[in-house]
Amino acid sequence: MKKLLAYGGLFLLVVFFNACQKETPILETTNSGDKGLSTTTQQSGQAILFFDPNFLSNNHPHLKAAVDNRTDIDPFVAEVRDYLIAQNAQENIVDDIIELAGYPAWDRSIADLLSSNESIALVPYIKMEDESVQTILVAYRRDGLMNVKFWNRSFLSNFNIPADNVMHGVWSNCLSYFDALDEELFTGSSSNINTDDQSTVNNSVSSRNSIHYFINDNGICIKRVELSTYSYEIGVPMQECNDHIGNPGGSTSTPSSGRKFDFSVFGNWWQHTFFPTPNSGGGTSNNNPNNSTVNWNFVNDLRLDLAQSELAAYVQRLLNCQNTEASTQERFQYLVSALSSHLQGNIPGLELNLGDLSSALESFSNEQYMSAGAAVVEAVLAASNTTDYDAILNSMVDLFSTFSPCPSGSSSEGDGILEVLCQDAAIAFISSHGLNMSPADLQALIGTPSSCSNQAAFDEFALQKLFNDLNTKLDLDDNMACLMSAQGTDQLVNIANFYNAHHGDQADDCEENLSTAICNAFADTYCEEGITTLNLGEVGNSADPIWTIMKEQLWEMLKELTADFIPGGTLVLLGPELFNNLQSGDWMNAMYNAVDIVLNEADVCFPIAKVASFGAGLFVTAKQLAEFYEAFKKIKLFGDQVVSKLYHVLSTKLDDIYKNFKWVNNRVGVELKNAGDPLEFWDELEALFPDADVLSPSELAPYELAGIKINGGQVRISIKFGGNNNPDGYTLEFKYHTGYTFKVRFK
Amino acid sequence: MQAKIKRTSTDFIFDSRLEKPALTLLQGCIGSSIRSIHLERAQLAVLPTLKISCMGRCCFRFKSKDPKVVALNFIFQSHFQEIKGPIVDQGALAIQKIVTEKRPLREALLNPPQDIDSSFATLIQYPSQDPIVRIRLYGNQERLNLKDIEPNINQEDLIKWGFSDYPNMEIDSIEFVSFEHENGSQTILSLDNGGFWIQLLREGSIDELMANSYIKPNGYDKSIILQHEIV
Repeated sequence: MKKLLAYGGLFLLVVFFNACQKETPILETTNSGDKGLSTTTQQSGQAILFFDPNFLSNNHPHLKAAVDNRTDIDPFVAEVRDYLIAQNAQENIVDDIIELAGYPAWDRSIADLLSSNESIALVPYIKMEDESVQTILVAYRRDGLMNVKFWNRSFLSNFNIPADNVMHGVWSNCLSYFDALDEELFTGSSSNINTDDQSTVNNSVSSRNSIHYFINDNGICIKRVELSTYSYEIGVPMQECNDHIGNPGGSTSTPSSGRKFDFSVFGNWWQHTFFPTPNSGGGTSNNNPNNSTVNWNFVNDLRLDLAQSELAAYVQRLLNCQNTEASTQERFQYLVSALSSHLQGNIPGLELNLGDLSSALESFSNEQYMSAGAAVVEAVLAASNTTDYDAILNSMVDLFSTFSPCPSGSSSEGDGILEVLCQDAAIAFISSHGLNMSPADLQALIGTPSSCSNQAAFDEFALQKLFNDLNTKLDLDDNMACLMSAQGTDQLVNIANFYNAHHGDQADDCEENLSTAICNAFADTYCEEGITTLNLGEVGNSADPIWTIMKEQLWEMLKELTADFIPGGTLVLLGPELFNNLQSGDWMNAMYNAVDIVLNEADVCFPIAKVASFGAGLFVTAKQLAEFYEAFKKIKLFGDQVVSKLYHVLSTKLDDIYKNFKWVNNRVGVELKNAGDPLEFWDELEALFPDADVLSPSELAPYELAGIKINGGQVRISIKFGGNNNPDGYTLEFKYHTGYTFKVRFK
Repeated sequence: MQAKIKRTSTDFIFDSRLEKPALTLLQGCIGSSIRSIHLERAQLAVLPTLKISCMGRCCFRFKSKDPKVVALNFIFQSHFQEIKGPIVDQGALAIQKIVTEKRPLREALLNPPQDIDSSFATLIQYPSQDPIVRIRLYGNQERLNLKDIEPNINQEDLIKWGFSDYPNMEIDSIEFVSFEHENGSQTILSLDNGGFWIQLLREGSIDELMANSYIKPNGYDKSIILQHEIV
């Protein structure tokens, strides 16, 4: 936008200067050049200048005088002008066009009658400060229906088409008219094209053109048009070669007549930006622009063309980054990164990625920068659903003017791309893994890998580095495979976050010692036997009996763990923070806080000598507690009263329940140790269900000694002796009516 | 429980009404809910409503109100007496009560408590825990003279049937047992020759059921009345 404003301001100043010089009443309607003061009067004044057939010829400081010094314009050009006047009456378009392209030189236009029902005109648009034609309005009327389209020189110039592309000639053809008009209007000593002289144009060009047909090495029929100032080639249907050549041997023929403009080819070309689709409903075969049903979007098309042009130029400058080791993919990734972050400032919510830009990448790889730019703009449009074309154009302009295509501040520009990509990859890695570190910290940790544009490869590389770094501080050798597995990497990141949080500048030795012990215990607990760490996320509120059960068992566990530190001491009550952490799955912080509180209460520092033994003890007891919790989670399926009553019986039989009641697997169930006589256990359990239906002997299954049914028969609890899985032991069996079975083996 | 049959020179008496000990036994059902029904040889017919027929004995297992009692089993057996002559068979009901007391499992394993035997091969979990509030036993009651109902009977037939004269007959049988639940539904045992028909949680009056299941092999109607009511 800054660039456009600058242009706009410059233009208005020039206009103001010219107005004073010429002392024309029209120019006096233009004032200070402050766009913010735009008024109806000003717009009207600009429109008057805009539609003045001779305004540029009379006022432009660099424009050559017309050869014939004429003041009239071609009838079809006049129709085009009337058409724009009518459009401008409906919606002000003049200001935008002046800002984007300049003023039209109506009296210097080229016009041609293509056929009895087709006319075409090329109207040059020139900014007051320019010394060349940068924009041409192409007007094409067929059967009375008007179509208009801007050609932008920058857009066409940046369009890089291989010479053997069938569109190459078309592109050359379009671009050549800028050269021709430049010569006519600015530089040439004599006029090559007598603008506004239809018969002269026809005669001038037709007399000098020749057309050749030949079949190239790829078997495509090529039509080659040679004119005095340019030539072009286009692919045409093979029938034309057959008609003109007679046999596919490469002979040539010269047609009796030819056209200067082959718009049928253009019509199939930039379909998204070229002529708007005429209304096929008909009824518009008249020249009255007020009745036209043409979709009026050419100003936006021009904006997009300019945006593509700006972007293409920016993309192309990437090539000039010297000594680059970055691949095409990496350079493009860098472009996407810069573009995406830049556009987000103007188009909220926009997120571009490589998937959206696959076609752009392909063009970029083929060094077709204009196509790449066009594809990027297409992708931006699709990704943002925006119709704010100004925002897109201004973004591109800003990108070009304010961003260096080569990353700055690097030792070499090529390396700079890699550095930027690596920083982006680091940010993405940190975000996706929830790492508690800055991108700079991560980059310092891992250095610069060979490629950062491949996010998956970067992730793998970064994780490996992360593990190596942690392993120098912790004892993770035995857990490497586990922590580097697809499931384990989350835990690796958790360990890294926890470790970093407790080893900063503010951490004292006590904190570091304890957290180191907990990290090791966590890694062992997670990786040993595949047992997950204690996560109370499935426990409901404090009314859940498991809540009370786990609270008691955690207390038992901590009491044992801290016995060495606080001989004869008593534990403080466990606070809610411990359970909040465990409920959110934050095992390490839960353990850390619990032990830290206990030690603080006793005014004891965690000694470094205890790191290993405490870690091992925590690993063992935590695993036991996790197994205990796993068991009760499964029992909970049978209802809260089963949980409470079973735990009640266990608490009358055992001191350290969590050590003696642990989940093994689905086949075995729970192993229960040191619980005394299983038959007495049963009697106590059964007595807690006075309303149960006692199973009669005829209702007992093989191996069952006794059983009850509760909850209206939905839950069956029995005690067995023998059976395939426990031939010499007692088994307590809980069975839900749906078939789910939970077993407790007495050991 | 066997029906009492007496013969005199002028009277034939068939009485299968329950005596006081049996009524006292059934009194134990009141306030309890049926937990399950155990059948010796069962046939289940899935009609619009489940129809259960049982040859042999059936056992109603009640859930005792006494926590020391594990189970309260009532075993019912149907006995039909053939009375010859123009009188159709008459039903009688035998009742056995088995109480299983709660004991420690080890002791129970060493000395298994009395329970229904394994001949009860079919078990039906009772679908409702609604307690029983009333038991009604219905049966046939007739006071008649054979000659009155069959004027053309001859002496030879009477001798063949064991009725040498024209005796007066007194018949009191048991044909239906209705266990009425607190919610008004009924579980009905219909005595059959050698077994029972069982209907669970029947809604409405028993009159229609009695009328439909009435046995009329030779045109002599039974006179079904309420023989006992236990509340």
